[in-house]
Amino acid sequence: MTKLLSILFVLALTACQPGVLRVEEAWGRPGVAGENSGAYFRIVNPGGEDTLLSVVGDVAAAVEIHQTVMEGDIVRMEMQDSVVVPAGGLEFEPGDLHVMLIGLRQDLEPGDSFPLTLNFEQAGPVVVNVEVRQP
Amino acid sequence: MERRFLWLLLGMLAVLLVAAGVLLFGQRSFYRGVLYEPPQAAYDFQLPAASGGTTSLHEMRGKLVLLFFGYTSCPDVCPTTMAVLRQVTSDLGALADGVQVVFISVDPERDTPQRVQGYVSAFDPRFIGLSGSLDQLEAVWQAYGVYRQVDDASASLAGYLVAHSTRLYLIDPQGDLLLSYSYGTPPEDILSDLRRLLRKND
Repeated sequence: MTKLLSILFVLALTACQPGVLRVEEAWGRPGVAGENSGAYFRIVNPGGEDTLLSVVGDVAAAVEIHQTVMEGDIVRMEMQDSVVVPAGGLEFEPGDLHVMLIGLRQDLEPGDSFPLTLNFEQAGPVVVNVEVRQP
Repeated sequence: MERRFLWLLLGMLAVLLVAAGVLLFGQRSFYRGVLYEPPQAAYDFQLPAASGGTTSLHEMRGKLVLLFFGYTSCPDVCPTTMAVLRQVTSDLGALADGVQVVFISVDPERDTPQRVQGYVSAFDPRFIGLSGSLDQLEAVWQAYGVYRQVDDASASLAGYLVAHSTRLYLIDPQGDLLLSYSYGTPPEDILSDLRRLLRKND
């Protein structure tokens, strides 16, 4: 009994560690099957610098990290192979870094949700539940 | 006696100058968008409509037209702008009848008129979405000063990406370019200008 409690105690401590990277407020734009859409989130990184190596998911035929770049009036997107996540964290938001969902396998309506796995070099895989909403 | 008369004359002159100044330069501070001074005739585009036939700018005379150039495969900037425009037309309520939102594609290879219309209708069924052949669209892009560049060097599985200018154009009910807005303009600014213009036309 004591052993079980100790194990549970340690597990609880690990789960409550503030030093663990986490992903919050993941949201995605509505979309139509076959078309593209975008997903955004906030990476909170209490530890040292990490690297987001990839984002994967079944929601679309291809899932990629892109950076929106504005030069005056002109917008373009640059695909990112990986993204450095500084200590503190990183924001994926409209007009900036975003996950591009290419060739949706399903319609996305406000209220739907789908999983994405973020693969970090240090933190390992982090699964997020992305909620579809009107921006 | 004479001196008092002189002061009165100077006073009247000062008042006239201030009034003239306000009339001449006051207009500039009314609008939050960038003013076309003087307004320029907006290019009267004529493009195939999703339902068949053509849609042209002159058919929208009498309304304020909000014109944006983008493409449906764009996951970020274009949907953001369309969402802002949806909020604007929604906040206008009944006044929205005096406004027409138009989205013209910069990606004729992938964007058919049906695809563009379907894309904008998802934001607001009152929006008009247009595409056309490369030749037809090039004339429109050039007339509005729209920058458009296909980027097929990207390794993205999206195929190719299209860099494009993101300015929002406001055309008045007489078919003249009146104002423009840069990407990221808050909906409240656009609303302020629209309300002012819609009141003027009553």
